[in-house]
Amino acid sequence: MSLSEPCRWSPPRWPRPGGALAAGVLTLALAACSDPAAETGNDFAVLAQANDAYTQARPGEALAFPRDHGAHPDYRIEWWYLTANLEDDMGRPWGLQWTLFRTAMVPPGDTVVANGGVAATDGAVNPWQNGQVYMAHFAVSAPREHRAFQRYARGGDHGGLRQAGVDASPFAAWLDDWRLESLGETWVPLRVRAAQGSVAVDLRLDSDRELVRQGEAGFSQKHPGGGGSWYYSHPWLQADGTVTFDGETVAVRGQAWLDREWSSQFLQPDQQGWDWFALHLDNGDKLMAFQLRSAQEGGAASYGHAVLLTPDGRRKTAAPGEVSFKPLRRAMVAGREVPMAWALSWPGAGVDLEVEAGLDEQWMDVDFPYWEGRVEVREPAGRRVGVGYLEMTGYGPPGS
Amino acid sequence: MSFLLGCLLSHYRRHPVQAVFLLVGVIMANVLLVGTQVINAQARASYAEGERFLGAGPLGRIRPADNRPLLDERQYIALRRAGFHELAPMLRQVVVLENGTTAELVGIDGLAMPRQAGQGAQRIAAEGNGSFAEVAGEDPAPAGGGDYASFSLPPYELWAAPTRLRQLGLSAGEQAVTTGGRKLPPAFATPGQSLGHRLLLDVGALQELADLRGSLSALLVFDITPERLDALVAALPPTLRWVPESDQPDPVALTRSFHLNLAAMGLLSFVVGVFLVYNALAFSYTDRRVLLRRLRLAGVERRRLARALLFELAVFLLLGALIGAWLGTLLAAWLLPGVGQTLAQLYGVYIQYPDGLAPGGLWPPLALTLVAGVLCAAFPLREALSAPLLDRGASGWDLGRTAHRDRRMALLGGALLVLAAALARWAPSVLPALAGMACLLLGAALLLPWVLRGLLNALQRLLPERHAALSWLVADSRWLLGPASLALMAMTLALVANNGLNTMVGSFRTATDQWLAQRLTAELYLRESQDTAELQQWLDEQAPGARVAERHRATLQRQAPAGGPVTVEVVDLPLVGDFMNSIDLLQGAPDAMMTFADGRGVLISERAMRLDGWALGDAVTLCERRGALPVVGVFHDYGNPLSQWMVAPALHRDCWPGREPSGQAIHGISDGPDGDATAMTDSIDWPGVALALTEAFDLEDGDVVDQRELRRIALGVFDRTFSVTRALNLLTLIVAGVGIFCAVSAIHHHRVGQQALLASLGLSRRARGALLLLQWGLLGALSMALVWPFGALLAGYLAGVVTPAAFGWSFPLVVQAGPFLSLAGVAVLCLILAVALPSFKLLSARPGDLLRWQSV
Amino acid sequence: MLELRGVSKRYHDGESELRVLEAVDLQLAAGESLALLGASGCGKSTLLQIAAGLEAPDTGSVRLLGLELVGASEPELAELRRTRLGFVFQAFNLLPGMDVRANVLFQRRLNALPDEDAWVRELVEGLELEPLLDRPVEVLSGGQQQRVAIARALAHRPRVVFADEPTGNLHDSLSHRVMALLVRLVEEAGSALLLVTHSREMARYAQRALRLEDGRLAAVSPDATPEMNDGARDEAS
Repeated sequence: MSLSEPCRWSPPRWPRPGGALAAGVLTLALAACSDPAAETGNDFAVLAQANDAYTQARPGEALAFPRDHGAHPDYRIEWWYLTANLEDDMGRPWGLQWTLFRTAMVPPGDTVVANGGVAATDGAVNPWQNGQVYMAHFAVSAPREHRAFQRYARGGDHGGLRQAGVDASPFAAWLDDWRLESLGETWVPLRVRAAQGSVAVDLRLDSDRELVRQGEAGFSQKHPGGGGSWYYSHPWLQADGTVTFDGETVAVRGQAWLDREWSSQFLQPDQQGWDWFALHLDNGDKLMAFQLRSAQEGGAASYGHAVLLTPDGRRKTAAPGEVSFKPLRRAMVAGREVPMAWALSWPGAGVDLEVEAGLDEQWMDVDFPYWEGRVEVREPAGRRVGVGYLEMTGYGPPGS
Repeated sequence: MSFLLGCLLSHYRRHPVQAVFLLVGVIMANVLLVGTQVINAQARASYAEGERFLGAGPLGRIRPADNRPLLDERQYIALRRAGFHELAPMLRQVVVLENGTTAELVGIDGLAMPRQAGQGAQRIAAEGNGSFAEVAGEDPAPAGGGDYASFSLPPYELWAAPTRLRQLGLSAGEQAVTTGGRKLPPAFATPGQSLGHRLLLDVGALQELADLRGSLSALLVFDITPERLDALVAALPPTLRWVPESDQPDPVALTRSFHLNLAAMGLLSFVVGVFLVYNALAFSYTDRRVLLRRLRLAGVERRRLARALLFELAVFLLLGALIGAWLGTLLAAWLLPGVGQTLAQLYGVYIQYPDGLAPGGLWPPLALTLVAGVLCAAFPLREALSAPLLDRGASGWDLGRTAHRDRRMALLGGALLVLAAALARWAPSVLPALAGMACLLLGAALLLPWVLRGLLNALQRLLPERHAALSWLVADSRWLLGPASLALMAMTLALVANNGLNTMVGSFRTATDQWLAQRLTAELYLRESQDTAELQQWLDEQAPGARVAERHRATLQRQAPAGGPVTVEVVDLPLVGDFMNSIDLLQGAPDAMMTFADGRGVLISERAMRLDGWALGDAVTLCERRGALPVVGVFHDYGNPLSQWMVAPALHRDCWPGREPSGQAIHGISDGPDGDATAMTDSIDWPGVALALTEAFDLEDGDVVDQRELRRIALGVFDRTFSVTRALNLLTLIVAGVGIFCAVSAIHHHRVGQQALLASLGLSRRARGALLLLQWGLLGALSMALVWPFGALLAGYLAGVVTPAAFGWSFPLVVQAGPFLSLAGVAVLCLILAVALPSFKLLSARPGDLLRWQSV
Repeated sequence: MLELRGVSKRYHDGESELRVLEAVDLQLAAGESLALLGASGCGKSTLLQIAAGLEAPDTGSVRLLGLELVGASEPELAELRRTRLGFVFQAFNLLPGMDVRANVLFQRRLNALPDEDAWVRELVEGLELEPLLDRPVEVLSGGQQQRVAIARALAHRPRVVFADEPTGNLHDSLSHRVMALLVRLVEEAGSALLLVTHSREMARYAQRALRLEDGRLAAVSPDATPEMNDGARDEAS
């Protein structure tokens, strides 16, 4: 990348295509001026870049725990993505989003590159330049209001202290005082905490079920060409604890869904954004569905996918083209027109559902804004059959 | 009225040059005045805004509690882990660059800087791109790499305001080099100017650059609620303390005298310009006497004529003031970086540069211009209008009348000089000192015609009468004093100011150089301290006779007796002969050095005395443990933007035990009882030792600095500090040069008959040309009779009264012949150049033309 | 000694062209005095300036004291004026700031002639300058100033004296006195005199007079005919 070239850096968005989804994305990843995707202005371009210096996710290998609960700095991007649908004693709905993103700005080993001026004093790397950058999003959907926060930190080890990082065992993922960690020797039960301003959350997460390896033993293919990510989920977490909102602390309980994914390459350059659903159905089933919208085809789905998990451990995966996503209602949120209700149809699995936002204003007003929030699931007849979380990205303001 | 104005203005149709000169005078008066005003206004605005980092102003800072300069970055991480996300790390270092400028480097973590909620995000969403700086509500990132990765990873980026980058002489991607040979990261300009004089880089980059891994200067606290702040302060370990931004030393108080000086230079230039305006008006009215007389004969009342002329004057003044304001604003934009440099180096104050300068505060210069303009016009206007109606052939520059005028001006000048002396004697603070300086300058200028006349009279008596051309030259010069004296006075004013400032700066430089020679007693200085015992052992083997001395440094915040919080630097002085001898006390208690060496007293720098108000015998508190100690002496400490207290090493250790040395000095023994040691140290090959030391202790180039290098660097900094003074000085001289040019052009219009006569008497064109240039050269040279003594007097005033009051430094005046002679050369050259063009026009006319011209 | 042949001079004033001299021929012998008469602005001053080398003609030749002035260099002309010519103008004849003595002796000194000799004494005596010698010229009256001017013009015994309205600024009786002195001293010096005047009365002091009209010279006898009017004087003042 030539420094003299007057190129503007185009910040990538970081989707969670596959599963839990993601949004935001670090502003921080590298974007090469010469990257054609960067020139087309696609914000997610970075996700489509292949970089041989990073490890690529490939089928055929196996996930190993607790190792894979930790960070994988040799992969370009990674996230710990927790959402929870909660209810207080008065039956009011609450939602929590707690997300930690990691991005590598340089491949490991490249951290200290030769430079024309500032020489590292010795072999050891200054912790400020270890090349791992974390971004965290924390959002609470109160019954009538949604509030979101973001933070950034570098992943360097300052003499035993890290502002942000992820340890595999005992598991802990944190940025500042926003923390997700194992309570004991085993991975679950977990505790999640975050606080900022007048909003705070402290939940205990537990489950007697196993986590779910998505795709092919944890390898999730994202493109017909074979590119993909490592991806596992824990959709069966039971949550209870407290939420504090504007000075009021309430006891809450509900269901949580944790997604873990890491990769060095995700999106095709022509993909514009995605709509991702993680639904807890009242019958105990868990439905994950998403579509990646193509930039070329006027936002029509270029790739749709769905997985249905039943409490007895069975799993049903949709065939290509089998799931359809249809917006039913749109609303202006933060100056953009965003779908607020969807018809989700997967005839092969008997899925015919309407999903509607529990609150329209669940806009994540962070550096790379997106819509994410709690949703209610109904049958077309109108009976409520579940709750869940919906993430929608790539809805720009009019004219963009 | 319009008919009358048309009549009056028709004069300028015939003599457009006079209109131009009048306008030029008004413009010249305004340019520097407005320029300095705008600079001062900009600096004040910058102070009012407070220090900002990427567009955000901190509410305060977390600093080391024990006055150490640095804190451990793990304390920052721990506070963040405790949830204090309102904190951002900051490391600040001042380095000296190869070209002698100092540069303040501010290292930050771009990720920790506050984001202005939603704002940045929306912009990025709207534009689809952006950078973290943009997110932080700051200007978009520079056009280089500009992204977070390029900024925070090797080779890093150094961000500078465009103005600052130009000042550093760097183009995008270029790397500045420090005197220690370290290269700064490739530099890029931010699109906006708000970084000001600071240079921004990643905190990790600066740590590596400064060998300060793991260290921070302060934690900036942004946007914190009072409850959270209480929690933060409660959570601070004892080694850290909260300092609200209002407790930072006040830059306004610190720099008041500097800005006053700047304003004074603007006013000086204004006065020079006013002389030119007066000159132009005098010509314009004198030349219109016939016209005025005719109009009066035709029945126009004097009052109406005066009104018309004043209206005409107002138009000129307004137009000139507007153009002057515009040019002054351009000038300010051009000078501002230099002012920023000076402020940084004199006071450690860093101003911001605006994206665009608007001529703020136009009214005071305009009002001043109008008042001065009307005052200028009053006398020649009255003369022109009160002339008898039937007076024929009065030249207007009658010798007797001008001699009388000169005597009156000289009397006024003398009175001003007496006033200046009184102000210097009885009011030694900045404002009266500057007023005194103004009196001195004006007095010198007013004395000029009278002194020149006297000198010419003496010269005429001395000259062989038989040399017709020469005696004509002298005689005619006396006549010239009539029409040209104002222009000459303007020039003298500028020259005296120039001479005074140059002499002052030269003396200051000499004093600094001598002071450095005395203070830099050690041969080698180590920037990064090594284990002293180990180093001494190595020296004993490699360079017997060389000794290591540790130097310690701490900074304190103290309430100054003169008011306001100030930062004081506390250093220790090794109790070794050379070091002790290097301190020259300006004032000292009896046995000062003994008391000092015993740790029972503190020496303070001159700045601490003059600016902060501590005095000999005052009690100062270093630390709780040692309680109050008396000030026993005052020493020179040129060029230090901080006040300094000097203490014995044991005292320093007592107050700050276990403190690492801030540096080490290696010196030869010369105070040993055995004379052999001296001989031994004389034979030490210091450059060789420096080299071997670098290798043996695995140091970087530039970690070992030798004395000469240090001295060169310090003098380089000195020269840079005064670059704006020099620029303004030169500009004033140029204003005066333009004034002379205008005056000569105007006078030549009156000299046509004279030239025709000389031509008919058989003086060839070449001879006449030589005489003209010789004549003006003579006037310039004779003016030196005033410029030299008054320049020296002014320099004395600056050195003895103004500088100590403004900067806290005093120094002896050094008057050298060289600069005085070269100034005379410059002045004469300037005059001859200014005279050459109008003279050429005059001479190239044929004698016949001259005769005809004269009869018009 | 002085000979003009076919001298023409035109001035351009914007569009219009002013024919000042049209093929003028003129001769002046050594020791001869000649008056050029003519209305104000007729070009007689221009003719004098051309004859003295202060101005160049458009065409024609001017020989003065053996030197062809047309095409001569500026230093040559300056030397000729300095050493062998003398000038008296209507005004601006004196150098301000200097006393009468310095003014009288100015051209002598330029020519490195001694300050004192019989001729200088005679001039000072004849012009009654003795009591004025140490006075600055600014304080002199108009008549005194012209007497000093005459002394200055003759002090170096020039071969030709050019006088352009020397009494133009003086009143009648004084004019006669000054003119008489000028003519007498020019004669004593043995110089030739070219006198330009608008006044027939003054022209009578010269041996010969020519009248310049419409760019051409015509002979006029000193006892000129009554149709010549004196009104021009008023125009010139």
